[in-house]
Amino acid sequence: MLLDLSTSEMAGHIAAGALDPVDAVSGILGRIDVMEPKVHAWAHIDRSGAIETAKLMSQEAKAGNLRGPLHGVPVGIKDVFHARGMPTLANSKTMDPSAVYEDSRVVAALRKAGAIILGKCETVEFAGMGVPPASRNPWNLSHTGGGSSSGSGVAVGAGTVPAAIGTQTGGSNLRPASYNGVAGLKPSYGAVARTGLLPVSWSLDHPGLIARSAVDLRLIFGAIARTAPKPIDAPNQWRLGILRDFFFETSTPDTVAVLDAALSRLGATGVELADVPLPALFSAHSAIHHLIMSTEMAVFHAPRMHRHADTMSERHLTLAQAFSLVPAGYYIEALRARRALRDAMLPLFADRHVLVMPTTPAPAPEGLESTGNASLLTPWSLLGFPAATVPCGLAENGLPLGLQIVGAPGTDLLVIEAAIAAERVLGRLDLPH
Amino acid sequence: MRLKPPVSFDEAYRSLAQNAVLTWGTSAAARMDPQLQSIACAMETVSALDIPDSVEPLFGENIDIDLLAEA
Repeated sequence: MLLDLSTSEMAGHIAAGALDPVDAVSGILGRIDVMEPKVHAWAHIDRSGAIETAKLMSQEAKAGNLRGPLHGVPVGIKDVFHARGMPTLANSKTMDPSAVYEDSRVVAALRKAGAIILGKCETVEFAGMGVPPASRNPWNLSHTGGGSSSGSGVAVGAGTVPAAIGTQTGGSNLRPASYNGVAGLKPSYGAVARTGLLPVSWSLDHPGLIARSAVDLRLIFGAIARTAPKPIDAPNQWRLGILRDFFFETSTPDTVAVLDAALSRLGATGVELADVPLPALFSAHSAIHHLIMSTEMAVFHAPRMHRHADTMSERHLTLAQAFSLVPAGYYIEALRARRALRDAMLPLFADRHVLVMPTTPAPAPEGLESTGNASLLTPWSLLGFPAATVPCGLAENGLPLGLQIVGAPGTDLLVIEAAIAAERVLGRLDLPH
Repeated sequence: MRLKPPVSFDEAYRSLAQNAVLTWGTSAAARMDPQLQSIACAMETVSALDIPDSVEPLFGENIDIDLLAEA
């Protein structure tokens, strides 16, 4: 069935002539018509533009001319990336709906790879901690779809697009991926260009991706990475380090039970598992992240606070005003502490390919006011280490939980291969009904 | 605000609260109290860290290699 196809499966069918890009886009638009009134994932949908592009790509495919590995596949973009012909509103009334933008680097890379930019996905105001969108979790509409890449996660989870681009400054990309029962990747810091992205915090922002399958992460990362990643051979025997300190300790019993069951299944296939302790400095990670993000966010929004205080939400304005008060010395000291923590964390990978832990301490919370808990994701945004999530089961309330896989900086493909290996054992979740 | 000797939560919070009134006014300062408390907590934690003198700040970057090459 078309709507169940992953990005790589859809791209494969189109390349083989078994699926026409026009049929792919039409099918997706039909699914949007059914699901969007319930889940509110999209801020802007370019229906006519997507159909016209699909018609062109249909002709090209029939002539054997594929633009790239994503030829004819529709993709959603978080509404903080600029895309030619589309508004960037970032869920804020301070943004000009008539402003004209060129493609961000990520969008340009996707177009070059043959993707059809279907539209913009909803976001928390400025991808920060401001006003959340009305995006709802397709697994239970009374629960959040996560954030701040709310629409990206919900759109993929609801089957209204096979893949979407998000961002992560704390936990904004992998959290919605996990909450919506799909795969996600936050690449190494700097692996994907941020040009054309509205920043939250320059030194913490990561463009990320959300897709139906871990295999898609390899395909899409290859298309949007700043430099083409060198292919690697997956290890014959995986050695995984389990972070029980903090990550399991702060998770609900329900989450721990699901994670332990998933790790047991991986262990039964010959994967070598060993607990890995955290360095003492790790306990300061949240404070370090807070001071860096707060300062950089306040600086970026200083002109906006000045010019658009009347249209900026009180929630965002209050945050930006408070964050402007962090003393400069504390910002610099936090940047020093970040380097010290990174150096203390690198030895954890000495004899482990990757580290594993829950993606979130609990499934998506009820209500839309909070987009959930990012505490298990923030450390990797702070350090710039690559991280992926794949579904690993359902909580007692029927909502998805994710297994998080983290690697050393620059080992993005190793993390993706580990996610693919885990997905082969744990399986993909079907689309929610 | 000093970094060393380490500041307590109360010291950091008092300093932030005073600056908030001076910078944004009494009404706004009252509104942002939860944020000031979380910043003060983070300042207390970071102030207490013993980072070696040799460690330099880890800044971010967005060097677009392709654009640099084109330039």
